[in-house]
Amino acid sequence: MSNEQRKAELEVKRAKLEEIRQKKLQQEKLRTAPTTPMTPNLSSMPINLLTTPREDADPDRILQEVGIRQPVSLPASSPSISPGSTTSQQKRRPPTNMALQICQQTTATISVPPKELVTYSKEVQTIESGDKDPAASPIQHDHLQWDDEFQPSASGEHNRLVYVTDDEDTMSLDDNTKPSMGMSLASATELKRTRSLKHQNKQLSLQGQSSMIKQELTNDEREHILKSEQFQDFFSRSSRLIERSLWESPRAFDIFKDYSGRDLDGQNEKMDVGEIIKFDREFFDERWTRHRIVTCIDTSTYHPELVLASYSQNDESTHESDGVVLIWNTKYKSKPTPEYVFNCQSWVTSCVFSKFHPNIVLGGTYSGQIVVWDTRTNKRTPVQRTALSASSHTHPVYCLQVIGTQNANNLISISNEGKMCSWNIEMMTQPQESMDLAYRTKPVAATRMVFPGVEVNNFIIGSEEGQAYSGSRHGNKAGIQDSYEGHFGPITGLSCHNVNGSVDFSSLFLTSSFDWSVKLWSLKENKPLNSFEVNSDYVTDVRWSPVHPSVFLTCDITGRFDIWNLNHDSELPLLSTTLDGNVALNKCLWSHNGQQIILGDDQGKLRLYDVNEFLTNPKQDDFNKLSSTLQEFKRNTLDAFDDNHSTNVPTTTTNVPTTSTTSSTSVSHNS
Amino acid sequence: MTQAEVDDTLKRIHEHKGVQGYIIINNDGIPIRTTLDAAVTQQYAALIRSLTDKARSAIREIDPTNELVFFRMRTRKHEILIAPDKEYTLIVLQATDVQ
Repeated sequence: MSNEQRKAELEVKRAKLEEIRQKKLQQEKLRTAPTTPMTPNLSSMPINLLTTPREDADPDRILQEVGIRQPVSLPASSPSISPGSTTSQQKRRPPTNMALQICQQTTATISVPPKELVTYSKEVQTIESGDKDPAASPIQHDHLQWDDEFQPSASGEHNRLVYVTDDEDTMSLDDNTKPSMGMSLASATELKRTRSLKHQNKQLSLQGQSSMIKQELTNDEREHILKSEQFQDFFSRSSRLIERSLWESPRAFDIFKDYSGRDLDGQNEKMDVGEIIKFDREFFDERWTRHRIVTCIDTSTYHPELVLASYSQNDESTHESDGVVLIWNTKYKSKPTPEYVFNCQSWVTSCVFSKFHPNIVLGGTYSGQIVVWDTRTNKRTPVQRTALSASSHTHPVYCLQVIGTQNANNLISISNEGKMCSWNIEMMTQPQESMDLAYRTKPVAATRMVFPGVEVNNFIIGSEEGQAYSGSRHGNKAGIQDSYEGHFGPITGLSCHNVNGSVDFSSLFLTSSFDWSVKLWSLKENKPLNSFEVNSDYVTDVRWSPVHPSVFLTCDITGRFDIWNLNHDSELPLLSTTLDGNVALNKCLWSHNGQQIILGDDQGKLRLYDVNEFLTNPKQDDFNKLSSTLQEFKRNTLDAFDDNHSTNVPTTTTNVPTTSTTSSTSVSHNS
Repeated sequence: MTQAEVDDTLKRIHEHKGVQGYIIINNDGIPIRTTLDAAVTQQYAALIRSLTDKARSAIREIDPTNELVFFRMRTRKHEILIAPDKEYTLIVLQATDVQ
């Protein structure tokens, strides 16, 4: 910086010198030209010199034209022009041997002050330890005054550290010309010239006067700061960073051990071949999840390590907010606290990450409100809430799903009164459209809703009466179309098959219900394909595996969860585990890659289990096996009907493709 | 975060194994909250503050669009975790010989 400035100044001075020199030359010529013997050449020149403007008169050219008769007085006057300057452009003219004309000459004196060679190194120059007053705090040096009055001689030490502290406001990203580092005093004054410092000067001088006194903050000030919002913001950010690194460091210490060959991944032991699941960890927060039931779980598509869980209200302590939604991070193995905590006024019955917005979390509450939280803000309360009006829900919102694509996405919500609303996430004041679901004029009290796969129009609903319904949002027959009867109690879980493979099973769905059973359905048939009745209590949730076509997970209220593999055995689960203690499982979920299962219970705990590989890597023939299993199911139902309704021989002993019609007719006969 | 939660979190940090103490300082290097004794706190506050400024300016000079976010110094005896911010800085000392 200063180098360039120096150069610029030098250039300016050189130019000035040149100009002055030229002017002198002209003067010389003017004076001497008439006195020398006039040659034909000369006669023209003086007139030219007098009349023509001087600026474009090149000294060299003039001299050559005029001949070497011109007295050159330059060498004599050059010392006075550039005293000690480092100009190397001084033109050297050949010395003439003309008769020296002595004439008056006023020399213009130009004095250029010596250029200071400013140097400063970028290291911090610390004060010698001997000089330091042990009682003085190092902070004092931050506030040393430096302005015009602060001469080097006053302090007596040339290498005393001078901190150039920046004003907080001016420390902006694009202002990289203000290094706050220690410099020698000479350079500090130089720096002062090159920076605009009125602001800082004022501040520093103010500080200098008061700094010596104020070393500490009073308790009141401290309290005030701690309560301020800035501090809270800062603290929530930095405490998160610190906690994460604190909880990670035990493993990282290993890299500093002296011996080599240590296995950093010693903690990730492989599962035994025979072990189907292995307990990974549990998520529980003393303050937020105690005495609350897990009501909904979701994992993020953007960050697969994040798990979202919503909780019911805490009956034990009424002063805590009713609605709690936590985001947990599975990446930091030992961090026991949630990444984010969100609150709202009424307890959250369903929650979901927005599939197309990485920072938005949506929750449906018991009061019928749908709330939107944003992880970018530091607030715990929702950034948006739907209005509690007749156009939106007034009953608990039991199911939320984001459908559509990145550009055209909607939030579909369904509440207990049978109202299905579609919302635009950016504008949640009013639903875009709402539909009252009714089957044959009877409103459907929906408890579950699923859009199979990437469908945006057709959906499946589970109701409190035990029927499942399929319907569509738009089209000729908007609303409920088919009903699937089979359960005797409210449907608690609904899951659509969602594995892409050689065979398309997307018409399959599973339901679980309070009637102790889990049923497998196909969209094309009104009767279940199969019923799994190994549970002896309310079954609370069922989920297909997202990667394996014949694997699903169920959980029930006794704390038992089962993993089924239909290709292995369609009568009994592959694995059945009951949790210790008097725990009831409310929700279960597979992670997106199908390698983990997450179980939520009624005591606010989330348990994560790793699933063995053979359940996450389907083989090619698993799909075919499932098809044959389904065929078997069909045959079983046919046989059952055969046994029960032997009088209906002609209608039931028909081929497989027409079973759908025959089974519905036999139903009507039955009832 | 309310005041109680701030206290809670600080307590949790302090009770984590190996943590010897923490200091919260503002940008003037004045400690706001600390669990270490006054002399050590003052020392840490001033020295860490200047070090953080130096580090921050170094990062900015290398790339003006970049900024210092977190700072971790491991020494033989301790690990010092520093979370600097615009107005405040949180410093945590953790012993390294814990396992």
